[in-house]
Amino acid sequence: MTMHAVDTALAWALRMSAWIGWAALGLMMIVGTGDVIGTAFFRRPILGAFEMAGSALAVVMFIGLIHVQTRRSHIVVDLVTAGLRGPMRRLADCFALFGTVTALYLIARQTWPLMLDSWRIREVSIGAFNFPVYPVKTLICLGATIAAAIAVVQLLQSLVRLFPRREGGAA
Amino acid sequence: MSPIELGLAAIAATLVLALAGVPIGPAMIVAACGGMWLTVGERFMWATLKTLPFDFASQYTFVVVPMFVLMGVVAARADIIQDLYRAAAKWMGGTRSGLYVATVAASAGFSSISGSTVVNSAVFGKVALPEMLRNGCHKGFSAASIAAAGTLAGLIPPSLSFVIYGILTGQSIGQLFMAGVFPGLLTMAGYLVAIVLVVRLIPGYAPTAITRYPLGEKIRSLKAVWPILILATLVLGGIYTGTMPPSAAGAVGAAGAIVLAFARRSINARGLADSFQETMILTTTLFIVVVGGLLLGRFFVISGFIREITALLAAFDLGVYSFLLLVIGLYLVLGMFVDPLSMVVVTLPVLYPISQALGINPIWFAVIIVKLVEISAVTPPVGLNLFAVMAASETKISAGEIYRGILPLLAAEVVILALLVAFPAISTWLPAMMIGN
Repeated sequence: MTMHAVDTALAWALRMSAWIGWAALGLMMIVGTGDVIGTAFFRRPILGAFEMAGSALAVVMFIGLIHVQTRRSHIVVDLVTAGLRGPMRRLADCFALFGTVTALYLIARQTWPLMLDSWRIREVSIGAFNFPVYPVKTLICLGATIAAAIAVVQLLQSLVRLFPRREGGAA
Repeated sequence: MSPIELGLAAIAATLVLALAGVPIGPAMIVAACGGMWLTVGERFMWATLKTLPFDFASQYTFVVVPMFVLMGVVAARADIIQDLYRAAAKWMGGTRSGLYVATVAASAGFSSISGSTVVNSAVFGKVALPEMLRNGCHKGFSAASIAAAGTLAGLIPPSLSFVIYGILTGQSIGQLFMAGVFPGLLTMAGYLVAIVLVVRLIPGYAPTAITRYPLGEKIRSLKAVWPILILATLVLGGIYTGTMPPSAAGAVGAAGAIVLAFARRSINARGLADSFQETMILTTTLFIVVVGGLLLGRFFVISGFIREITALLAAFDLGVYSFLLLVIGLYLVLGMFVDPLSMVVVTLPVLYPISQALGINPIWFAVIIVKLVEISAVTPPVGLNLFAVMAASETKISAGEIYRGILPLLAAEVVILALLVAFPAISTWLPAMMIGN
């Protein structure tokens, strides 16, 4: 797989995941507002509003991981690393990405059995309105896995930067 | 290893990883998982990782986070702050300390629809600072006033700091929101007193030009402010009266802010998409840190660290105020170097159970913690709000200028903190009065 193919796949994943995340946020807002209006003015709350909003939140959080990792917008305590320069800085970057890859792997690994179990029993939400939960858990698994994959790619790129090729060296 | 050694090793591992550059959320996840693996085994660790992140992420209660973030982001994009600041400057800008006072008042107003102190500081750094400098206000003190006023968003509901506290401790987010109202107003009053005193004592801090506006123009400026009042009243009134849970209030607030922004034609589809994107990223950034904190908290419980450390402190016969003094000292020192969210997420799983063992009112404790967090956001050298103002302003402000400017406001903070510790009712009275409490 060439770097171009990786970039194209990443751009596509980013675009799709952004739309899914925005839709989930919109759903949360509309369901929440609709439920308040329905309850206050018509005495008719939206059935399953809490469960739907909760599922949408999970989608936002896990799909959002793709974007957080792509931009590397995690919260960092850069008290020590901010002062580093040159190779030390690159080494610290590698270490930071290694820690991030480990954490995202731990999270992503367990979203797979979570998704597969849900598909096996065709899981639906508990409550007055039963909507299928397995598509939600699929998106969660995809979000965490793609984020972990992006972190791995970033780590590999960081390792390449750690050992820069000398000009005029062997081709 | 004893439970205390295990707990301390996990804290040390987190700090070492974080200082080596690993983001704080992943650092906590790795440390907690490593601890679980070594103490209770691999199976428990995997089971926890399978259930905890999803269970946390899918709880309706936490819908409050993205909804209030979205409300604040849309309001910031829709030029609502400019109108708010212009109105405050017209009403209050006619005195020597007027523009500083107007900045604090406008920031307090915006805090009622935005929960992020950094957003408040950054946006006011863009809007208010050029105006203050054009009128000859002191550069460092102007920037410091904006940074300090930004912290009001941490106390005045809807505050993200209280939401994080609620998530980590299981306290009612609605009650926590209400607990912040009077401390927020007290903080605002403290800043105003400090500003007036400083401008009176140091004449060089006063603006060189003072503009006074006719009453008609002042009244006209209020036209742009009423939608914010309606939105804030709707959201906070809904929570206070129990008509809406905080998450639903957040959804109504976000929808209201979007409708308002489109009605004012100050946002388009692209701006809305950008707001959604910003909200998603901010929510996820918080999510990964909180998941790390929850995993670390679980490790502290299963390793017996919480039980042992509480027993140890009980053996020292530590009283409520001695404990609070320790907490204040810890946060003031940590706050100089560590960012506020990381500080809370790492320390709260340990401090909260101890506070409960000592019988401290959890709402009062929340206000003290959030107040300390907000102080840390303006404490040099790592004051997040100070950096936000410096980064957002187009004028070059040196760290030295803003550090000197913040000192009088930090002195005010110490007095306010002392009042909050001495009089718990400032924090606990309003939540106790909540309808349906």
